[in-house]
Amino acid sequence: MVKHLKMRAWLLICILFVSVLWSPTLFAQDTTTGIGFMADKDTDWENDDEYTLEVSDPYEKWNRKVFNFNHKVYKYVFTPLSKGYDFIVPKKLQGGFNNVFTNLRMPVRFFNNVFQGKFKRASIEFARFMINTTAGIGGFFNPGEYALKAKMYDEDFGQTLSRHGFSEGSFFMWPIIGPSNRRDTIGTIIDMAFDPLFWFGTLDVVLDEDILFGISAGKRVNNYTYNIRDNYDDLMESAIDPYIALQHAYINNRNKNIKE
Amino acid sequence: MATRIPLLTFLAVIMLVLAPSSLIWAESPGKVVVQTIDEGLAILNDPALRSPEKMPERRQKLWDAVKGVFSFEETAKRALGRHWNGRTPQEQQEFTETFKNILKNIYLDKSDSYAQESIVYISEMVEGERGKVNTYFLTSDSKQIDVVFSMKILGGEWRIYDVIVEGVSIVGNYRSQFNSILSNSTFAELMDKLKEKESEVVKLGK
Repeated sequence: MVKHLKMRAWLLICILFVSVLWSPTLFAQDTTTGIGFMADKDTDWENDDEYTLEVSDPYEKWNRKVFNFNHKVYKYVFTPLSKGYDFIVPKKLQGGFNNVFTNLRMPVRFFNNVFQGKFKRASIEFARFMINTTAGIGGFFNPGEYALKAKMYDEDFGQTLSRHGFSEGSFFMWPIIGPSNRRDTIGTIIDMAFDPLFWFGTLDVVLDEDILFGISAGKRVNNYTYNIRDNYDDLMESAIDPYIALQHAYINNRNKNIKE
Repeated sequence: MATRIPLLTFLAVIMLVLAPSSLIWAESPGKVVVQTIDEGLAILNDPALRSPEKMPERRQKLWDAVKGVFSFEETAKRALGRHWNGRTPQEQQEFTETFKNILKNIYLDKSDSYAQESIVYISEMVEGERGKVNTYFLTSDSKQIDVVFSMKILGGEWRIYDVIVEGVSIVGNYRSQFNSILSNSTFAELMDKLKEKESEVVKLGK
């Protein structure tokens, strides 16, 4: 029990350390330009600010290799698995499971809203959790959405870092996990510390390691099937250079979420 | 009657002279988007067109209803960005046609799996001859997808040149890809890749 806790803590520290060493420009100012043509008066399509996106990708060669590897894993392992899951579990049930895992992640959203000074949003997140856990039967249903008339404020530590002037750093493609960058990699690791699922396994009283592994796997399969697979397939289908298409989509979607 | 016609003509001339641009006659961009999507949804919701063998007919109808509101030339130009100017008119035309055909087939193919989605209009912003329309789509499993339409007045009407889904612009996404490809390949090689993609997606429609 204690051994597990120590291992996890060590893993966290090691990865953090590596992340921090990753680049000396850690606290450089964010240089990404805003999107939206309202900023530039130039209506000329060629010099359109709207589409200016500078990506730092010094590891492109390596990243492309990892991307090709991931693509094969998605195509030949994840997708068949996910299609099987689709066959057994109806979409409504998948949506319910998705709600449960989303509800369980409340501490991540709560603390990151607080870290960004969004106290009202943090309190709404907390209220939603209380309503959904009780009236929504463990978060399976989402009555909080209607009761609070507010959408989910999905903040994570990557967004918190961005709020505090932390630049996104180099783009990086992780094996299996997929696209990220320096900022979001650090963010993901920190967020693990706020994710109840991560800690459940370290306290054997709450959940047995095997059960936790099963839940984590289930969460991943459900998430991939319910939220990711179709979007990923659509993007790949329409892409001429799939690696760049995924990179662009990742960065722009993140930028949108940061602005919100 | 005799006095009315000259008066109307006079008013029309005055309006033409005073109008700064074609702006006055163009409807609001939000209206154009909502109208077009409503028309498209009406076709998708038509029970007579729901069976699998009706899909080609439904696609054709959908395409006829929405194609006029898009400006594919504008989309193609912006997607190619700074590389557009160096191309001959023939190359530009070939590029535009191929790119349009790719987009058309991909999105019509998606329409087959349409399931009771609805659109909610949020707001519009207009600045000069350009505008943005903010909406979101509500899927049947109540997921909310933010969609922004970028529009421009072309030939006196509001036309869509870009669609931004959850922060990801279609034009921007292709521009990144084209820039990357053209940084170490020729335009002819890019066209080859586009043609290959075109034949790949045209097959989807069959």
